[in-house]
Amino acid sequence: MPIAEAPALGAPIALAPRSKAVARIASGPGTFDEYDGFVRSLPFVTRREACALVVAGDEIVDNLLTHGEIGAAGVLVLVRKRRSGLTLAFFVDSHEEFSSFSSGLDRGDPTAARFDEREGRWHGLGLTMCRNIASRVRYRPGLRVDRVFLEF
Amino acid sequence: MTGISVEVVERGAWTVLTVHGPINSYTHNELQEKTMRHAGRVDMAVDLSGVSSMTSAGIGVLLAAVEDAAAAGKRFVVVAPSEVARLAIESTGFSDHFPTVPSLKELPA
Repeated sequence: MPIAEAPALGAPIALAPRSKAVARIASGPGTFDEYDGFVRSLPFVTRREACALVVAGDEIVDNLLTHGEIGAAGVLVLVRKRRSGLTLAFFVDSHEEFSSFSSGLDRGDPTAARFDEREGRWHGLGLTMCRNIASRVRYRPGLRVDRVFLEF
Repeated sequence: MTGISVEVVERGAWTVLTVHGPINSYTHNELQEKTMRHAGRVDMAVDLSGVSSMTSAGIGVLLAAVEDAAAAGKRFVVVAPSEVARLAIESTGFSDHFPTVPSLKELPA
């Protein structure tokens, strides 16, 4: 900013509203409560956005917990709001099952929601939910850290 | 962890299950147990106005109840879903499976 456009000496500086927040959430009985509480406390997301973050994010958390992918380090959650939209990211210790799942998506394995009669449960329902709520869902395995990105 | 409560009451022709709390892989067993006990045997209404979050684990339980009801010629409705419950249901693409009424007063006779 040119000095001429800067606020006068002593004048209050208008700071951009904070639009990024990070939380580390432990794996355990309170994971859902912690995540939901974090999202609902963010001052820069609207109620409608918070609702989308809760539903899609709980689905990701549920899967990470169910498949044992949240290690001792917990899960790092990032929410960032830009003019282009909202980003929700999860970072967890890398896990073989995550990598396998991600590879399947890249190969184009079928992901449509389907009921498995033998197992008596649904497969792909959660991914369908996330894809219908977010504009983009990406799974990125890493050597040390696995990441999930949802864009809204 | 915040658990869920599932209260079961009779209301006219309907058996009403009122759910409070988050429905996820850790909490859905109680809902599953109570829906399985009644689904397909009675006309069932599930009040979701007190649901604070709902993952596919909960949706799966409700879809099973819907299927059991349809197979037995019984009715199934969702009552007054909370904002997150409504979004969770809509996001599955199976909204048509879940007839919804805005309040218990609106339950058909």
